[in-house]
Amino acid sequence: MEDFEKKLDRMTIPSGSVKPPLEIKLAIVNAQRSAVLGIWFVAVPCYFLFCVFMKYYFHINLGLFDTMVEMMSDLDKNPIMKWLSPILLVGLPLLGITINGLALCHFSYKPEEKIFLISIRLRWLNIAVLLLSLALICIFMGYVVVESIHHNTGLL
Amino acid sequence: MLPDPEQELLQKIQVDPKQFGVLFDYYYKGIFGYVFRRVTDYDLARDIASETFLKAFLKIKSFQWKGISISSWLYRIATNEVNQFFRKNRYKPEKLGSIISGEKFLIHDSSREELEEELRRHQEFLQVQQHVKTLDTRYQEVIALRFFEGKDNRQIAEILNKPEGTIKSLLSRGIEKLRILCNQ
Repeated sequence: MEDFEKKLDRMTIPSGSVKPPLEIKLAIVNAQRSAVLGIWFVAVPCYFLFCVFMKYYFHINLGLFDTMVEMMSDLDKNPIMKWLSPILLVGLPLLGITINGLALCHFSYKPEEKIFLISIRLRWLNIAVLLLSLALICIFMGYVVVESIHHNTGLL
Repeated sequence: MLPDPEQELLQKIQVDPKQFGVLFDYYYKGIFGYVFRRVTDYDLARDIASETFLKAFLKIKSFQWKGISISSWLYRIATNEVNQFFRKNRYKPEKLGSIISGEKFLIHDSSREELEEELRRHQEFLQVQQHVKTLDTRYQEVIALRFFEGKDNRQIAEILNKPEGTIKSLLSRGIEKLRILCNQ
């Protein structure tokens, strides 16, 4: 064992020498936690869309969509609870975009050079959650816009 | 050398946090080098070193001068961060494999390239470190501090906040386990 210990003592070690960075780029929020939270935030909207697709595109009525719509109609009757559906379907994905965006981005401003720098870390899970949340918001907002036009013009 | 003795610098930092930069500039190289030699991954070492100094910065006001040097205190934080990483992620040899095989990285960073080239030139170290990473963290830390950082038992005891006798015992058992792994 002494020989082995001497071998370890004699072993050459990489220096690992670097200059201290001029700045430390720290994410504003933890990336892994943001991704996990983001997945929870999009769970209900994804489930809602899944029910919609099953009923209207695949014509498979599992009763899930009807149950959900009934629940949402009941909630709409309550002046406070009527905000729950928009919060779940749009608000939470928006929050998911925010926290995952903050986990990926670092911002710095150099006043002497008048440069504003944004650097983005490539963490694929956070990017996937961010894009999924964005897609969900676009789908729901698109639906609201189309329904609004339909209601106003009666053309569709 | 630090411009002020450690205790004086600590008092200055506790009054004016901007003085922390002096500490950061002086100790970053050593801490990064230690973390890099333990994790053998440039980006991970940068993250852990950053986290170490962030935690040190946040805790510095409550730091009490009890004779433990700032260096030992920083090494202690860095050790805990590295151990946490190993406990959460479980050592994955693919990272080491990718460094050994000379896989190119997409982002140009001369420091990264130089360090990874340097790592490739130390094959014996890489092979030993590959086995060290499979050991329990309490053996990893004493072996790394003793043989990679050149610390003696007294310094290791100060860093890990354990009695010297315990350090001796852990080293002895750790070296034996490592010897068996290296001879397989």
